[in-house]
Amino acid sequence: MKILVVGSLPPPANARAEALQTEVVGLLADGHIVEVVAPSAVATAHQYMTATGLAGCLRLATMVSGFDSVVVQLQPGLPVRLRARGWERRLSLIAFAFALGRGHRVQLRLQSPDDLPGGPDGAAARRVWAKAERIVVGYEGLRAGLISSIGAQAEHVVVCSSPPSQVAVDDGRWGEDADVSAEDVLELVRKRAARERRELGEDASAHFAGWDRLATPGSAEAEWDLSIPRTRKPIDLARSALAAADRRPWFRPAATAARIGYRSAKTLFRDDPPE
Amino acid sequence: MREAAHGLAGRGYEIDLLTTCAQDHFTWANELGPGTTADGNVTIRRFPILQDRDHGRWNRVQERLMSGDRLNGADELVWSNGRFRVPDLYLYLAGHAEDYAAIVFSPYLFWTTLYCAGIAPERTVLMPCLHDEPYAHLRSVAALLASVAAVWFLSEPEHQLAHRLAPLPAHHSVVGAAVKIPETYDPEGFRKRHNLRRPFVLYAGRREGGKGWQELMAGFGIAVRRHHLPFDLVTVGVGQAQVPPSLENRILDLGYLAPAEVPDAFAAAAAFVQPSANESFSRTIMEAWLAETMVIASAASDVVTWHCERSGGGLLYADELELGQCLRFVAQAPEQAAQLARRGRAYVLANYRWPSVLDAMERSLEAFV
Repeated sequence: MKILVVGSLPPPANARAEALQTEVVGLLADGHIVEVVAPSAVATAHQYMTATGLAGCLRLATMVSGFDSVVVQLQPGLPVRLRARGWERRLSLIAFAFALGRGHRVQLRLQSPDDLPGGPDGAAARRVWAKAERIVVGYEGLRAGLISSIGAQAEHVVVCSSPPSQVAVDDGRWGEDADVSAEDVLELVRKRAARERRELGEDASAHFAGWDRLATPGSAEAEWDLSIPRTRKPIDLARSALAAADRRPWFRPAATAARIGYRSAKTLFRDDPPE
Repeated sequence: MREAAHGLAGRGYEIDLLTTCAQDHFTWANELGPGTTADGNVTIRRFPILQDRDHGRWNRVQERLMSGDRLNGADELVWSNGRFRVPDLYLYLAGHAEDYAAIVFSPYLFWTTLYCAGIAPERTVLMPCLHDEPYAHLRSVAALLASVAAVWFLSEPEHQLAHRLAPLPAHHSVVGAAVKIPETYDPEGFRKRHNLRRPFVLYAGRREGGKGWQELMAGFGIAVRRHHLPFDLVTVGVGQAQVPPSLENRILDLGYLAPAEVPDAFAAAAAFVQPSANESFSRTIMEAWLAETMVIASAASDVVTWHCERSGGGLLYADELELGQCLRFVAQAPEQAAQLARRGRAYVLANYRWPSVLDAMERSLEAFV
């Protein structure tokens, strides 16, 4: 088969890129023809598609015909820009679903919920999942969440196998026996943190943005419930602006006057209770 | 200082403790009455604080100091004299300095030391509690370090820092500090009293920027999110915790704890986190180790790094990713973490008990008195 793979292989090496690389190597070993198109301008690829978000999805729609199968690795920028607000996110996902609909035997890959800004749930995102014959996710919890939350069929959602290098470096163990030294533990801490730093690379902010609250252990909250940004009400925006003005001496009197004016207006225009 | 005073009084020294009427180092309000009281075998003399109403000039100099400006002599005096002053204490000491064989001042940063240490430098001992911060680089601090009869340091890194700041008097030594060893711990009782049903890591100390509190909150949030950690972060101490709304269900502020409860808090924690770069001794990590609780500390503090390396009982982190890995270790390898903590306790018992600290102080006093 001729397969279009859209996603970023190493470099830089991170869990997502290495998992995709394992997939591509497997496809080549099976005798398929693979063309790799990368959103990252420095990743290993046959072609580059650096347009992000909505523009990238429309570009994708022009590429998928001519291939027997399409594999897309979701990441910040593809299909949703990191800083995309609600309407842009919805439009991007609709365009993405349209693009996938033009392809065949679609496989979608999601390493972690953070890779899809705004989270994997929502009506627009469900349109995307519905286009996939197969969904490959980074870990079991994400698989379970997709199955229960968006109604994906269990046999269509699988967990990707971890690339060997990742298992060797971080197997969750901290030494061979109980009597470990602080120096040994620190060496592991530094190696694993260095690996995280490399994984995050340019996308550092992508992994620390987009979450609103931490889940309480044992609660029913799903990770992606917390990753959908809250819509800020106008009053929240006004409060933030006043707080910013308070921090600047020149603007402080204006902020104070605005508060007094608001309170006076509230008092003046308050509906008196009926007698 | 209070414990050192009582310790020396217990060895036969006649001790007067001169201090202010303030209890809160944010407001410096006179909350206690002036006058003389007794605290066991120590005489306490309290003097009222005076503050100017307008702190504008002090604030401007403070901002310049914190942004790295080098102050001239006049501005240094504005800074030293601008936050508060205690003229009655100064005048009492001026009239009674010769009644004392030695006058010990601590810490370096406040008016009581900067102004009063010059009254009788030939019999003055300075216990500065230095950090490598902008205040330590003031010319008046260098002059202070150079002029006194003796200097006592809490740790070797502090000693080395002082050498970089000023020429030191011949009589200077690392006397260390000591920590009271609790007789018992009640971690279960602490968890029940405060309804702590999940494992937690502890921060005990001032909740303010200079102690790394905001960075700790942010780093903890990132660590929990990335590694799905089971911990809450429990914080106790003075100052407003100001927990962001996004972290309110995982960062629990217990406020100021009664001193009797503090050891239980350390014992109940899975680990103690020390984010401060500004430590001259770090009593809290000693308290954590005594409770056999592992320490995770910022590598930005030379003093804490020194303790962790000497003891083998703590882990150091340079950024939020390393903090996350340290917390992961505690979550995934609790037995190994407990082993490190036991090494920390052995280190404290070997080095930081009052008899050896008081011995060092006495040796120093005998050398110049």
